[in-house]
Amino acid sequence: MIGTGFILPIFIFFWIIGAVLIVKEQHIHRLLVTLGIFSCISFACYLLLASPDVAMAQAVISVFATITFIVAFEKYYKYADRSVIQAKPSMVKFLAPLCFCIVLAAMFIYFIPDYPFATALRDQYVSMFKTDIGGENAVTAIYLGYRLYDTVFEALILLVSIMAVIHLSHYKDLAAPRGMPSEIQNSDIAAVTIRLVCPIMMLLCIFLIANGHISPGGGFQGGVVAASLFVCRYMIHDLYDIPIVQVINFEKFIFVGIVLLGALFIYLSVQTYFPINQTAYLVAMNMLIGLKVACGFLIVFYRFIAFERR
Amino acid sequence: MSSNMLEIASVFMFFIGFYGVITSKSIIKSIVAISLMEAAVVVFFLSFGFIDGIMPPIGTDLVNVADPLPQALMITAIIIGVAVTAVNLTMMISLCRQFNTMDWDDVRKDTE
Amino acid sequence: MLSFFPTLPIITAVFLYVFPFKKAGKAIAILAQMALVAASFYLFFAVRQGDIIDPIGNYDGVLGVILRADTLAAVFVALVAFIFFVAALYRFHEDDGKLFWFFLFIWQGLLNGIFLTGDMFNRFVLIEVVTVVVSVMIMFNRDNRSQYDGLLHLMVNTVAVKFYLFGIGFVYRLTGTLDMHAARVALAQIDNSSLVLPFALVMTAVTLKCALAPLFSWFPKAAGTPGASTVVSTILSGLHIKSGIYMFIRFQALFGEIDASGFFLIIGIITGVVGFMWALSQSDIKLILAYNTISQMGLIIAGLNLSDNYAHVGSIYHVINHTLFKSALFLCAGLVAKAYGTRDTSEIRGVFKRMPIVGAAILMAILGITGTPFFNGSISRYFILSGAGVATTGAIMLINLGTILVFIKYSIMLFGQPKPGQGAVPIDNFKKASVLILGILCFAGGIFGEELIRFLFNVTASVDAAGYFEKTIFFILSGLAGFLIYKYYLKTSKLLAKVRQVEIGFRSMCTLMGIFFAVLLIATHLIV
Repeated sequence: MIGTGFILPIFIFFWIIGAVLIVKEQHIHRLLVTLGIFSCISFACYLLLASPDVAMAQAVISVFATITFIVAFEKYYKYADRSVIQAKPSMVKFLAPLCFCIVLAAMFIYFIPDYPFATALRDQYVSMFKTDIGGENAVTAIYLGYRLYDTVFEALILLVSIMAVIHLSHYKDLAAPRGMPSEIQNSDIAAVTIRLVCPIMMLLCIFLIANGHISPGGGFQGGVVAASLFVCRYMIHDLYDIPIVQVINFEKFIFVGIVLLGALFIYLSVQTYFPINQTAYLVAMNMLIGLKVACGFLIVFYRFIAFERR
Repeated sequence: MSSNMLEIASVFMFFIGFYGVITSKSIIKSIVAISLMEAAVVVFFLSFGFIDGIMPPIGTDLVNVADPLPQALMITAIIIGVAVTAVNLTMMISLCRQFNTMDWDDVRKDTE
Repeated sequence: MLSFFPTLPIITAVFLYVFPFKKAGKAIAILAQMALVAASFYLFFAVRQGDIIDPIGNYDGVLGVILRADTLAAVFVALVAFIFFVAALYRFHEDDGKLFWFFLFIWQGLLNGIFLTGDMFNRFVLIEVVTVVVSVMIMFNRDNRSQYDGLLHLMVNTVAVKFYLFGIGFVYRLTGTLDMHAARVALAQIDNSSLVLPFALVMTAVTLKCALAPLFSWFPKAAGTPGASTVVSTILSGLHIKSGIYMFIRFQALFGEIDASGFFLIIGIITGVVGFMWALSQSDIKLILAYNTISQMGLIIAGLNLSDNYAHVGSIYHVINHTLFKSALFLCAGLVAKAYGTRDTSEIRGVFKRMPIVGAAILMAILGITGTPFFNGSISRYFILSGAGVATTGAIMLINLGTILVFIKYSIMLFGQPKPGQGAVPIDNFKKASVLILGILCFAGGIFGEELIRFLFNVTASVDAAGYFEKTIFFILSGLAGFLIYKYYLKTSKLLAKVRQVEIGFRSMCTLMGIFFAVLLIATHLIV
């Protein structure tokens, strides 16, 4: 990209400053906001490092995560503040870990091998992916084609952690009880803004998923955007009317669908026996992953607002 | 900025996160510090073969492009990080309800 | 074909969660377990003809993920199938609910995946998922103590995995591949001083996964937490921890040019000693067993790092033996704790009178773990010792003496008179069968030791009668010494009470991780 020459060092510098601020921060609310800013700088860094897919994943996830954190932790601010009330740590307790980390970092940097990067695999990927998998985005080709096996387990960790979030919660119910009081304050400004923003987000979501194989984006990014739609909706209307039990089961079916579709195309290579377009496979897979991720993040958000903040 | 400089920056970031892990009293700050370590690893992976003016591995005409493999891996790593963070937070909230504290030391004392 | 092993249990898990049949669900679960046992035996024999390589998607070279099975992996997969089958048998009559089985099956699939994958990043993904699954299983019943233990387990392992990820990043940068087989070839071309950093990073994480000193403190919390179900503790202590050993073997082979075996020999011996010290200081039966596992891990790692082929085979045979007797002990401990309503060794007496079959299984497992002649532990220990020098032999003897001490303390609960009002305990047949199978295998593994080693690893190792007799004398002597020490010293010792007070929290664990990383870095630098 043009001009990364001097912009990137500036962003990397702010990136490290942001991390220092986070580590120094004592107040939980400020901590979460600083984390949001840090994620934003990370996004810029990833983008300048010529990886728009990673940057986009970071962006959508950090937006979603920051809102979820802040919504979920309103109630717990008072507990987290206890460390502020305590006396300031003594000089030794502050300096000893600092020196330890600096020594570790210095040793680490001393031992970094100065070998050049082995580029054989990169060249192979770049030259082969269009014939092997299809599409124009090499990153999508890798995670939907060459390394689909990883992606299956990545979908599995979402599934597992959703079950964990539901089971480990203080509340046993799957869905919010009927007639739970809504905490939403009706605000006209919010309503109007969200009515304007939602269609754009919907378009963005469809664009990311449908064009994942030829441009930056894909199932994960689009799925998180779709889940963020519900976050927006939550600003003006509560979410208790969502049939969450069905969503939880639906997510399992989608997972099985991902495994089956992957097995058909990557493991058994049906496209060599039947006239099926590879692009169709990429779009279908992105769509399934998008649905899965959207369901997963929706469930997490629902749990946090309906149960964890009570 | 050469890839060597980026590596050094990511090492610094890794140990800033590590400092947070070994010093933070509050559980939530430990969780956030772990995500800093993860960000360091992401930049480290993305720095492979980086030179000024490198292009993303997307499009029809692919010359002088970045390595797509670390990018695909890091998307996976980011998603895994978020999933683990969500589990961590739920566990922490559940613990917080029982002990009325978010402090490692207090929780440890209470469980004994 | 290899991708069948991770995916079948996972698909079964999802299926059983979405369609929860009452009785039929359990039958399906048992059937799936049987299918896996059969498949793993098939794999075991298929590997005899040569390593099985399963590139997912048949792409050129190392473009895709490549699964690989050799003899070692096949043995581990068979072990996973067998132990999970026994565990499913054990839980057959319990009403666990669908979620428990869901996580159990996923756990099995992931362990199979870890043993079969040949790709470093894929292993990272699997480790992360399995960490979450194990944490959930630990705090499944959600009492206070196990919630803390589960959170600690998850967070410590997450930090360790970041070291691992950094390490494989360096391997990728140096070799341009993530496949372990190709990376080993490529790393052999690179001079050793460049490999110091990746080696230290990866090995720090692997050491934590193996629960070696000083990074073991997460393990007894996870496996010995009072709230966790018996099956969870069994699988965690018997099987899950072995995935660390497996990774240790694999990554030592990957960095074949760096010979850090001296360092890890010392670490292994320290772990062995520290493990039994802590085990002796406990009185909770689950915690005793968990700390004893750490001590045995130390023994296994010490054996793996001896420069002798027989010692290697002995260590891997000890991995299998340890899985068998530790699973038997944990399953029985669950039954005992349930029958007596307490886990305190000083309050449990007369297990033989109340539950003769469980008592017999415990006795067989104890005879196995202490290395009594004609039981499986003695064979593996014989081979480990056959490769040891004088100093190492002494150290391993010391660890063995410690194990004997621990189990003298443990076995007291078998004998004596139960308290009045504690009659015979009815135990269902499935549970009896599962513990008896494991107990009898401990005995069979000793009697047919040589044949089993030939069968499992395709290695001919013969037990020399004179040497075995010598080890038997040593065993009797250390047994006597152990008894005397227990009788006249330990019961009144103040040292152990102090040991028990040591409590390591999250921050100290991470600090220890940093210190270990620094020490390993320097040690490796000095070696190359």
